[in-house]
Amino acid sequence: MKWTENNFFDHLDKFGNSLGYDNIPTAICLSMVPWQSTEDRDIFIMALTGEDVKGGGPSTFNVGVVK
Amino acid sequence: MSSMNSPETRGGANGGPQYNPANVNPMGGNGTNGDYTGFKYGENKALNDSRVEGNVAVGSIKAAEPTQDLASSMLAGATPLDADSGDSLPISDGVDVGRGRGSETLQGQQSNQDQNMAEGLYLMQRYLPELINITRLPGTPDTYKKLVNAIKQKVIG
Repeated sequence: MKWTENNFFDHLDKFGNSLGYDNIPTAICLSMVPWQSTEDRDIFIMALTGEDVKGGGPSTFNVGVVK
Repeated sequence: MSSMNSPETRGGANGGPQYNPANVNPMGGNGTNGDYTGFKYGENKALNDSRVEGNVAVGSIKAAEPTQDLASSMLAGATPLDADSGDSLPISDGVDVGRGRGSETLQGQQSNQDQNMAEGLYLMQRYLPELINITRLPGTPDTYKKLVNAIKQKVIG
């Protein structure tokens, strides 16, 4: 099992980092939406924030450690 | 048996008095003086009584309805361009700009925000173990791990 896109955890990564850590409750709720595709989700985020989507992508798949 | 010179008495158009225009009543119909209504006295009285009761009932219903005169008297002399009276609130009431009270009067909105934060905190507590487990998957981005750290700090404090 490995990290995959277009699921709850991927959505949470994008919404949480795009909306900011102060809006994590909202990010959790939006991550529960069954988005048709990551493109649809990213368009929604860009329309909501007016900025590019923040969060991890294939180029940022680095090993990290949770404290 | 009749002879050829005697009047015809066997019916039909025999030239009787009903054929004389002077005998036709100008009121038409039954040939009375025109006061006839088709009902006997008792029936006519009952109908008249019910008519009176119906008129009273309709009059009471109309009295309960607002009339145009009442509405116009309430708005007598008022136009949309008139200044607000002291009792009414301006359109900018509850907003931090313009006349009227500010956003501090919107207490219900603040309570909704608090409720959303409480629900969000409950969701974070509930999903935190699973969120941490996902960080151990290969390929998990750093941004997700930082986000989980932030959630962990919020939940644990």
